[in-house]
Formats: sequence, C-alpha cells, structure tokens
Amino acid sequence: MSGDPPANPLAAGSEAVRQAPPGILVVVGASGDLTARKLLPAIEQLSRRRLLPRSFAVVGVARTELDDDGFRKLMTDSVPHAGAGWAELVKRSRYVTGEYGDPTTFQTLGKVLAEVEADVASTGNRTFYLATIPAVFELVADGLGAAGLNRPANEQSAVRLVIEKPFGRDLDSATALDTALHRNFDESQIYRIDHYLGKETVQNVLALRFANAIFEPLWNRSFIDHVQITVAESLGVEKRGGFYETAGALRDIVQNHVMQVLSLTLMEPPGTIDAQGIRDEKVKALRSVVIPTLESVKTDVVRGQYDSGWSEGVAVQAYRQEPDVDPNSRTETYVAMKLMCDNWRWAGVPIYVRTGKRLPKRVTEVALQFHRVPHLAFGSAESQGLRPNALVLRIQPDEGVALRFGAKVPGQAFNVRDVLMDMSYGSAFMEDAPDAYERLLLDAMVGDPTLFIRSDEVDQAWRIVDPILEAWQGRAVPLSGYAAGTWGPRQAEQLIERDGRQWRKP
Amino acid sequence: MAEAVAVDSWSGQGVRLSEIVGALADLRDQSSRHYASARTAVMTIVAVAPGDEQAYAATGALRALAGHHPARIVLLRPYPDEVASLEGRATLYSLDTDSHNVNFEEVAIEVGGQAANHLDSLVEAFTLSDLPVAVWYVSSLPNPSDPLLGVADVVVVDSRDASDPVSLRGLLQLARRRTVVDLSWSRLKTWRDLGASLFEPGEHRSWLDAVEVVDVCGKVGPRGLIGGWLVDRIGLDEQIVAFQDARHVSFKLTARRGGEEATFAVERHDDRREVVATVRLPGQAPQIATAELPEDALTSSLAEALTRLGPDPVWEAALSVATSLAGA
Repeated sequence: MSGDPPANPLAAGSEAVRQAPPGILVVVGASGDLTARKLLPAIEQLSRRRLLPRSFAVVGVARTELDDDGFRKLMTDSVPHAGAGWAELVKRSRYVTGEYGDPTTFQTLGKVLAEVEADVASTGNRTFYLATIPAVFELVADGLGAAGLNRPANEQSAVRLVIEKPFGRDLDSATALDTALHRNFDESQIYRIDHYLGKETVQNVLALRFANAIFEPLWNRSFIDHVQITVAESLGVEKRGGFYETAGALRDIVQNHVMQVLSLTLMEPPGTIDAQGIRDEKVKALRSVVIPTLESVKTDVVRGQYDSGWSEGVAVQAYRQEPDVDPNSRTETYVAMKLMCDNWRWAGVPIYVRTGKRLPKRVTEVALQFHRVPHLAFGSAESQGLRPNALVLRIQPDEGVALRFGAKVPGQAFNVRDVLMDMSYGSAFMEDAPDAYERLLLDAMVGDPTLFIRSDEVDQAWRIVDPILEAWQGRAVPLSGYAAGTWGPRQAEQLIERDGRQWRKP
Repeated sequence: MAEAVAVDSWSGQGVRLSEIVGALADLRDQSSRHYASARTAVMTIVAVAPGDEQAYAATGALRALAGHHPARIVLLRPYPDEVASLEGRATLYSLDTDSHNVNFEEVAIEVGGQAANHLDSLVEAFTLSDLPVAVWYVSSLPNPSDPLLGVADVVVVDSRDASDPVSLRGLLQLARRRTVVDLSWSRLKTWRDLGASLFEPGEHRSWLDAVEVVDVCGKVGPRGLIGGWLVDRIGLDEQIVAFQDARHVSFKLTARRGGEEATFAVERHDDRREVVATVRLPGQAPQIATAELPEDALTSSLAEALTRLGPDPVWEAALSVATSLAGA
C-alpha cells in the first residue's frame, strides 16, 4: 500500500480535526521557568482538549541534571490540577541532560527520539522548542544540525524549530542569528514566537477589519485622526532586573509586540487569510512606516525610567534600586513615540505608541480616534466633554472591542455625553479562549506559520527601532524620570500635546 | 424606585490590590453570562468617605443613581493614622428600574497607613476605560494637593461642607484648576429656578434696579452661593447682602422706589418638602409659586450634578463673589 491514507470521513465538520499530527515535542531548556510556567500548562491544555494524538510525547533537554523520572515529576508539579490524560502523557516523556555545545548531547537526543518514536508509533514529526536564553539559539541549532536532527526522516514528516523573542538585539545581530539558523534550517522550518500573536484579541484585529463591511471603509486617513497603541504594565521589573538591563522597553516591547500589533492594524486586506497572504501584507505595512532619523528621535521619541512612587497602594522603589540593576542604569522602562506611515491609506495619520512599567494599570489596547465632526451643532455647554469617536481594540485585560460615541443624556435639556458600546469576549463567547502558548504550540505542530513572525518582518521591525537605539547611545536624547504609578514622564505628554492631542485614559 | 440588590460579592482582608482587581474581573465575567446589561456604565464614580455614616449615605445614593447614571462605584475609606492594611469588597448589584434592569459594580476599599495618602495609586486599576471619572469627596472638601484629584475628570463636592470662608476660598482655587461640580448648587437649582421665575414677567424686572436689601439664610456654603449668585447676576452692591444662619436656604430681595416697596422671596419651610416663591408688589395680591423637592435629595442632586460634566461659569462666578462676601 502506498501514498497518503484516505481522509477520515467521520472528521468532516469537526473542529477537533485540527489536531496535532503524531510527533514529538522537544523542549530545549526544559528545566527552565518558561517551560514550567507556560509550555507545560499549554501542552496539558492541548491534551485536555484532545488536540494531541496518542502518538505524541514530550522530550526535555537541558543542562540541569535530571533523569526521566525527575522530568516527569517536573511536568506533574507544573500542572497541579491536570486533566485525566496528563499522567499518561507524562509517563511517555523522556529527558536528556547535556551541554548545548557538546555534540554528544544531540547524539543522545537522536537516540532517545528514535526510542520514543518507536514507543509511541510516531511518524517522525519533530518540533524543537528552544525555551532557552537567546545566546544559545545558534549553538542548539548547530548541535541539532550536526546530529542530523534538522531534517525530516522521511517525506511525510516535518521538522520545525520554534524560537522565542528576542530575535537579536538590533538589525545586525538579528541578521546574524538568521544566517546562523539558516545554516541548518530552512526559513519554512523556523517558527518565531511572539506570544502576543497567539492572543485571541490580536487575531481579532483581522476579523474585525476583514469580516465586517462597516469598519474597513473608515479605516484610513479620511476618517481616522490618529492611532494610539498602549502597552502598559503596573508591575516593575520584579526579578528580571538582570535581563531588563540588557533589553529595555524598546527592545522588550516595541520591537516585537508593538510592531506586530501595529502591522496588523495598518496592513492592507490580504487576498487570502493564510500565512503568506497575511505575512506579506504585514511586512508591506512595516515597510511603509517612516524610519526615524537621529534628528526625529530627539523630537518624536521619549524615553523614561521609573523613580520611586506609589503603585497599587504600595510604596515601590525606583528602577535603579531594583535587584540586579545598575544604580546608574540608563535603561529605559518607558517609551513614547510618534510614528508616521507613508502610504495611500495612512499618510498624515500619526501613530502614537507608549509602553512602560510601573504605570497605573495593566492594559494593552489599540485605539483608532476618528476625526471630529466638521461642525458641532450643539452648544459648547451642552456638548462639553464630548470627544471624537474612538474604536478601541482591548487586548488585555478584559479583552474586547469598544466604540465611543456621543449620546443624549436623558432629560429635558439636550446634553450630549460620551458613551461606550462595549463588546467583551468574556461575555460574548462562553468558551474560554485558548492561552496564547496553547494556540501557538498547536499551530507549530500542525505546521501553520500564520501567527509566527517571518525573518523579513523581524528585520523590518529592527530597521524602525535601530535608529532610536543609535540616537540613545549618543545621549542626545535625555532619559526622563517618572514617578512609579503615573502615566510616564511629562515629556511624553508634551510629545502628543504638541500636536493638539492627548493620551487616552485606557 | 426599587433598591439595588447585591447578586454576587467577594471580599478579603489583608489583600493586595491585584486580588481585588482579579475578583472584580471574575465577578464581571461570571455575571455577564447571566445579566445581559452588565456593561451599561457611563462613568466611574469614586467616593471618598472615611466615616461609616457618610459611606452608608454615599453608597445608598450612588446605588440609587444607577437608574440615571449607571456607574462603576469605587468607595474609598482612607485611614492614614492606622496601621497599614488593605481590605476590599467587590459586589455586583442589580437594579430593577421601571423599564429595565441595570447591573453595576461596586468596589469598596478600606486602606490604612501611608497608602491612604496615595489613593490615586489604588483607583486607576478600577476606572473604566474611555469613560469619565468623577471623584466625590463625601462630607469634606478636598485638600488641593490631594493626588487623587489627578485621576478625576470632574470633582464632586458639596459646598455645604464649607464651614468657613477660608474653605470657600480653597474651593474656588480648586475650581480654577479642575472641573468641579457642587451638590449644593444642584440642590439649589429649585431655589434658583424659582428665583429666576420671579422676574419672568418683564414688569417685575424693572424692580431689579431698585433692590436695596438682600437677606439670605442658610448654612455658610449654600447661603454664600445664593448671595454670590444674586450679586453677580443682578449686579448688586455686595454691601446690601445680609446673611443669617438657618437650617434651610431662603432669600428675599427688597426693592424700593418712589416710596413703594416690592419683595421677591424664595424660601423653604422646615416641615415641608417644597420651596415657595412669593412676589409682593405694591397694591397687588401676593403671587405665589411652589416647587416640590425630591424625596431622595442626595441622589437627585448627584444626578443633576453629573448630567453636565464641564465647568459651570455661573456657579464659579457665584462662588467667587461668595468668597468675597464671606471676607475670605
């Protein structure tokens, strides 16, 4: 008998057919925090939703000395309230201890994979998830290549490499990383994760724009005055001071999360909602963003660092007093910027971005503010406080879509007031949305790269961010302080007020 | 109108703010599956009320207000002199109005210690996105340097809480920096409307140039506002205004010309929930008009005050003159 088996006639119409194919998920960095906090719970959820086949297993690889049973205990401990199938999956799992620079680590891995595949009757699909620090991405990819684990064992199977952000520290290092990965893996095998893209509400930007007739005609400079993107965290750097010192808000949030959300907001309608169609349009949108110059960074970008203050009713210390942070650190914990997009749709529409730590609340949103009405017929007293319409895509928390518009206040007088038409995912759909990692892990195993970032997207995002990093190195742009628990430095207010606009209160 | 009924609630002592935020989110999520109208809020109202009595009155009024202005209520009870602590309660309420059902959320936070001086850091996690935030100082006027003021789109005060001329001056300074709505001013709307109606016939207005005495009774804040309003709008000499302490507000303008006297009075009698306006012109029978006062005075004045969320130049001018009349 040869060729593909016939399609399962009973699976037609069932969502569950989007099940991971038989295969092995190899988690490199399996003893780390990301694995315990995100990956293992996501795998358990996939198992619970019956999206993993019986011919599936997890193999952990890390430098930490563990045996199979030790890893199985870690899996069990990471998901305290696991479903019935989890114990079975844990039992099938294996672990390989070794240094990433040691070829024998990957040779051993190859042998273990062969054993597990034989045990679970897997067909050779392998997904390597690099839950390691970025510094060892190249080492691991080379190790996998040298052991021959980078190529599928047969034509019916696939080998994929999933890596986590950050993808480089700037354009040069991102390009170097790509070159290194491409030595052993084709671009089609590489799945770059930005977990923001796994969020239902980020994906809903596509649904809102391209599944509705009413929004897209307004989605342009004729109707939209400006766009505001806010990614606010109420927390400080917590225990990540050491990491944050090497990253900062621009690299940690703007280069990836913000650029992804921005590209989905600005992109043209794709011909088809598939990986190539969407990613092509996202790259085109990013290419339309005007690259900042050293001069424009001085006026259009504000960087800040939080001082001590009060956050959520607690006195909190300044960034420079956080553990593992240089007392003279010039790392930014806040960025506000104004971007412009040079294309037919968005010419002249400013895009204001702000992100920061120790802001008053945790919120991520994209707000499209429409032009004011050309003539307000109501008296100024009756319509005071009435603001232009705004369409707000709330990504977190309380995910949903809200439309702000003016309405008459009940009563004899004709007072007009802002009200909100508010759609909440939580109440509109009874089913809990899958966690971002759950969604993305399944996509990677299924081989759907739509929600992963292509190398040209990464490069283009760095082209936008690089001049800012360069300008900051020269110290021509001051680092402004802001009290913890406030919405950022005064200079950020001035950045937008200069244009006659104001930051929203998200 | 029916009373709001608590349909679901969470509370915790010695908690972190994020726990209250999480509990509210859970309540909101769960409740929205059962109550279709859970997202009808048009604003966030933050009430600062340290005392039990004030907190009780404020929450009662705010819950009843849901029929007019469904809002997320955040009740803050600060105790800066006590030990550091945080207690929280999140409750979902349902109010059955005559025509429909309104659901709204109430968060009550008791905070002890230094954090009580930084209420702004507690509030923003609960403000509804894109909707106005009204901060109501129940039973006291705000300290102009209170950081909580920075959260407010509109500050709700009651000038009845101004016990002396200096506090009136402080209120005026606040009004010059922020949008302030005054519950006393809203309550006095009945007096002002009736007062204006006294001069609606054109021939009555001719007496305005002949006003020689203005008597105003009431508490410091409200009587000052009425006196200031009369002086500012009619263009009177401040010297002719006489104040007297009384439980309820009343005012009387006495005008004289050519040996004749006319009086224009608006007053409320102690035992009745109505305001009476009387015009006495020479040689004519008194003309009387009355207006009923609402049963739920606090809720009604809140509803009135929150209908327009911008500055009120007439009130500001009245307050400005009131401070001058009070010698502040």
